[in-house]
Amino acid sequence: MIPYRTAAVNKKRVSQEPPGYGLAVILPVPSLNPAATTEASHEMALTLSDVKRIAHLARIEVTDAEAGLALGQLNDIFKLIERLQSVDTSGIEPMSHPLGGSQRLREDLASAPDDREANMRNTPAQHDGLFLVPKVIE
Amino acid sequence: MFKKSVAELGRALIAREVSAVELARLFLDRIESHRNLNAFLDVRPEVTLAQARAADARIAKGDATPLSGVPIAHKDIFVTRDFHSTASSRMLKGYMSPFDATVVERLGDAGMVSLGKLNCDEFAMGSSNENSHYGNVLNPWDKSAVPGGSSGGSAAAVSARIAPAATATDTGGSIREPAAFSGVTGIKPTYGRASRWGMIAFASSLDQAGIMTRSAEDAALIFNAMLGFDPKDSTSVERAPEDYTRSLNLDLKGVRIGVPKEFFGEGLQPDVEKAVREALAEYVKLGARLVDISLPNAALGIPVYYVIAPAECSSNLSRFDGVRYGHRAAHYTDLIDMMKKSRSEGFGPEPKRRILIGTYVLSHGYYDAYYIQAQKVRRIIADEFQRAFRECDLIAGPVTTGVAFGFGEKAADPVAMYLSDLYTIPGSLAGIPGMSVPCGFGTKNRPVGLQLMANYFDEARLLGAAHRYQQATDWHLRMPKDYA
Repeated sequence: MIPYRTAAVNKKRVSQEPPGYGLAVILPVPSLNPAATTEASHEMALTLSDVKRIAHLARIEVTDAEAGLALGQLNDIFKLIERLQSVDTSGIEPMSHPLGGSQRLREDLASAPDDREANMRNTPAQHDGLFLVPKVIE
Repeated sequence: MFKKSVAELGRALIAREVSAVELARLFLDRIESHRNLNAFLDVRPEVTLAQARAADARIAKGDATPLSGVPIAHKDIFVTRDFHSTASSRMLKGYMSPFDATVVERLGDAGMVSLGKLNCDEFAMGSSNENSHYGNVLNPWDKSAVPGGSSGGSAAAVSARIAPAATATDTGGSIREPAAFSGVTGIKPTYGRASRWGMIAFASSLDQAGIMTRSAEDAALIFNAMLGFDPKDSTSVERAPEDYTRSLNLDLKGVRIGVPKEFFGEGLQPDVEKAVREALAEYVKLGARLVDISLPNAALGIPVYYVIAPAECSSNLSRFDGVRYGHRAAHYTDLIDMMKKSRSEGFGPEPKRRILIGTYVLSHGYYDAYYIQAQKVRRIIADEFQRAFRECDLIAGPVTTGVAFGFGEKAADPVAMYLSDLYTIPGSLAGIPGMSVPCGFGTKNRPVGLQLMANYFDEARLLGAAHRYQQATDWHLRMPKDYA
C-alpha cells in the first residue's frame, strides 16, 4: 500500500547522480578515520525488520514488498543524515525554536464555546455526538 | 486588468474604475479557462462572489483598505470555513474546517476576496508539487517542467495571472523554490511573524506562512494585513504592528550585501549563476556594496533538516488516526488495525517516508544521537548567520542550484529531491526572512530566482531592496506567453 515510486532502489546511486547533485559535491566529507566510518555506516544501515518495527510504531501498515522498497530509500536518507555525527557540538545548546525563549502561557479564562456540531461534521463515525471506534475493552 | 498588481487593483477599486464583483468574475473566468494547470483544488464562485459583494459594499461606504476587493487564493495548507481544506492529501479529502486560519481571517478582514484553494505537495512535503494526491501542477513557463514545491499551485497561479496574489507556506524553501521556478516574487517572514493557527502543521519549529505576488511592493502591502501577533499561536512573536511598505524607497547607497561563497560552489548550474551574478551587478549599480561572507556549515542544513522536519512531522501527523476526522479505512479488525489501515490508505508515499524517518530518529536510543545532535548543528548554522550579519545588511545568492526540472526527473530519488532545497534550508533553520525575486531566465527559457535574506524582523529593508531592484529591472513583469 505504500506506492513508493520506483522499484529501482539505487544500488549504484553515487555513479548515477546527475552532475551537480552529488552528495560528495555538495556536502563536505567528514574527516573521520576509515575505521570509524565503516563502523558508523554499519550502525546506521536499517534492516527489513527495523522498517517493519518503525512502521508498527508509526501505525502504518506495510507489506513485505513495501518494506523492502522503503528500506533502500531510508538507508539512502540515513546516509545523508549520518554526516551530522562527525560534527563537534560539545558545549552547544540544542535549538528548538528560532527565537528561543519560553512558551507563552495564556490567562486561564473561558473563551468562545466549542461548536460541537461544526467540530463533529468531519467525523467518520459518530453516535449522539460521540466518536465511534471498534470495541477496545471486552 | 488581470495583469495589474495588487497595489494597482486596490487603487482601481477605490477609484471605482472596477468593482470587486467584476474582478472576481474576471479571475474566476481565468481560473476556469486555465484548469489544465491544475493549480486550484477547490473553487466556489458563489462564495467568492458573496465576498466580492461585501467588499463592494465596504468600498461604497468609504471604509476600504488598500486591499479591499482584491482577489487572493490560499494554499490548501490553510484551513478555511468555506472551502475544502485537504493539505493535498487523500487523508483530508472533503474536509470542511469549523474555522478559518488566522492568516485567511486577517486577509478577509482587510476585504480581500478569496478565489479558492491551491494545490501543493501533500502536507507541504516536497519540492516539485509531484506529491499532491490531486495531481501535478504545471509550470506556466514550460508545461514539461515542475512549478516547484511545496507551494506549486500558489506559484503557478500568480505566474499565470489567474490570481494576483497567493498565500504560501515555507518549511525548508516551499515559498522561495517554487517562486524561483515559476518566475514570481515570494517571501517568507521571520519565524513567528505570521500566525500558524489554522495552518495544517508539518514541522512546527520551521513552518511559516508567507506570500507570493508579482512584486515586492504587493508583498509589503499584503504583509501589513497578514502578519502580527496572534495569541492563538504559542510561537507567535509579540511585537508592535509595522508598516512593511515603509522602506520601499530604500536608498541602496552603502547597503552591504553579503555574498556567501558556499552558495556559489560546485553544484550551482552556470545559467543560474550567470543570472544571479548579473543581479548582484545591478545592485552594485544601484549603490550597494558586495561583501564576501562565509556560512561554512550551510550545507549541513540538509541533514539537519531531514532529522528535525521528519521528527516534528511524525509527531504532528499522529493526529490522523481515522477516529475524529480524516480518512477511515472501510475494513479493519480492531482499533490498532483501523488506525494502521486508515493511515496507510490516507497518506501518500512522501508523508509516510518522513513519518518513518521521524519515528526512527525519535525512538528510544536514537533521540540524542539524531534529534538533539541535529538541533545543536541547527544552532551552529543559525550562529553563522548572526556572525555574517555583523559584516552585511542583507545576504544574496541563488535560490536553487538549477532552473525548474522536468516531471519525473527526481521523483524516484528522494535524496536528489531533498537537495533541491540546499540554499533555502539554512535560512529556514535560522528562522530569518528570505525571498525569491525573478532575475532572469536560464536553460530552456525557465525562470531564475535571486534569493535575498535579512536578519530577524528586517522584512521592511528586505522588501525595499527587492523593490528597488524591481524598479530598475523588468524580470518580474515578464509573463509566460500562453497567459499574457
